[in-house]
Amino acid sequence: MNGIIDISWEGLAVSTVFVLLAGVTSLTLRLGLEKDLLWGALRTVAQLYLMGFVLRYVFGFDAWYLVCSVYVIMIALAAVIVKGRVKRPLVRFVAPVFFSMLLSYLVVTMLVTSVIVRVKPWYDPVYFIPLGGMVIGNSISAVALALERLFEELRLRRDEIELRLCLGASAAQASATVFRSAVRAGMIPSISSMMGVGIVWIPGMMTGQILAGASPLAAVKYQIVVMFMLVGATTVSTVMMVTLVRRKCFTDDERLIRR
Amino acid sequence: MIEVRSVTFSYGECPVLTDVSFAVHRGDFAVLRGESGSGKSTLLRLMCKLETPTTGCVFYEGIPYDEIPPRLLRRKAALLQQSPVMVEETVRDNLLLSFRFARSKMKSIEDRELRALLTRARLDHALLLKHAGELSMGQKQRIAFLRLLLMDPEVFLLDEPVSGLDEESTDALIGWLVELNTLGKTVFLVSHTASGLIPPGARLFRLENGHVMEEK
Repeated sequence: MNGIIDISWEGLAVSTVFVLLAGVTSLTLRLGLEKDLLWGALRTVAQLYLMGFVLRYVFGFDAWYLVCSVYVIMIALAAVIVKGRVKRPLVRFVAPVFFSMLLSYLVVTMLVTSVIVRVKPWYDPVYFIPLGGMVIGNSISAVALALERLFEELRLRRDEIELRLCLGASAAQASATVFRSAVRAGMIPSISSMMGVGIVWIPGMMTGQILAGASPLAAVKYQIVVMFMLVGATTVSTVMMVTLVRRKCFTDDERLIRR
Repeated sequence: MIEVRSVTFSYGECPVLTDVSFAVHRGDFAVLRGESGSGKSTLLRLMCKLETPTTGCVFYEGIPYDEIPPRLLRRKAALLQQSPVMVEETVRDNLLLSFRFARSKMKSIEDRELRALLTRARLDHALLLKHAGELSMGQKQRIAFLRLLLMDPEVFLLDEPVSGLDEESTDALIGWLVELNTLGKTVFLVSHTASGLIPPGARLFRLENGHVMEEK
């Protein structure tokens, strides 16, 4: 491997031509997107550079608790993003979401680095953070979907749920169909992405590895592992999360709460 | 049997029941009348613990509702909801729903018995294996009643049980309830138009402006 060709500052400057082109288009066609374009372009540069510096710093960590702390912060940020995505929640859910993601993603990522990729040590941040980060990034929308489905169905199917309660069902029995539907909603995106991968798009991770000089076949193995770990991690986290959040939607004496 | 003591209930800011007190005794056939929107359904929901009072308390045979496991309570004081909800595919599975939730024995009820119940409710016994979603409102309402009956509760809390039924079916259902009542079951029936539903000897209550009073 020769490593990746570093893009020169001049080259980077030239790439702004693409954004300028969009800006000129917006002005001539009076699309009103100039401000958003400028703001978006500035944020792209700032956010990515910030991330670059943080990663350069984090990649110097050589203690497992430091690496894991970074990962925990990443998951906490993801839980906050999920909070913003879910419309009309019935109960507060950030804590259960954080807890479910934390447990499942941590275990899955540790398994992948230690048993599958066999990085030594398993917490090597160069592997742990990007692999774990990919699971977080790719599962945020699935987690939000599962929660949204849960709240929506609890609202729409109140009559059904209360009918079952009236016939002596427990809260879990009364909401079993809702539970299944929410877990399904959370699992489907990662399953569908297994169907589409490699046909219509080269995943970002493979692109990166190929550019960095890895053989496409080595990159494929990584991508397969990532897809599989995504399926496993979202399954475990969705089931945990939906279980915890559903419990919060019922009172101790098994009534569906109202909001 | 069920005593409602000084119960106040509001949905959020909106008061529905204010200082309601009354009691239904074992073996009573009681009818509660009141305008629609007066809080009759809410009162029934409180009596089977689908809601809890904002203040005050409900008692079952002298025991506060808070101290009775909700599933046990709902099996004893069973609510027939105003709109009949079918959740399983076939009529048969809907009828047997409560047995699926019963902890101990999966009581086996033969289709023959279920067919007899359908006939008694003036329904075609061939409906048993039909898709429940295809039934009319009046048919669903009777299926929902039979479903409750099969759970064998002590108190029947019925929310507008005859609203979708024609006159003959109404008479048949009321007759059946009177028979259950003579066999020792307690009936508490709620309706906005109670004419023709009141068998002789029934106790009459009226819900008005958030208060319940007994009519003589």
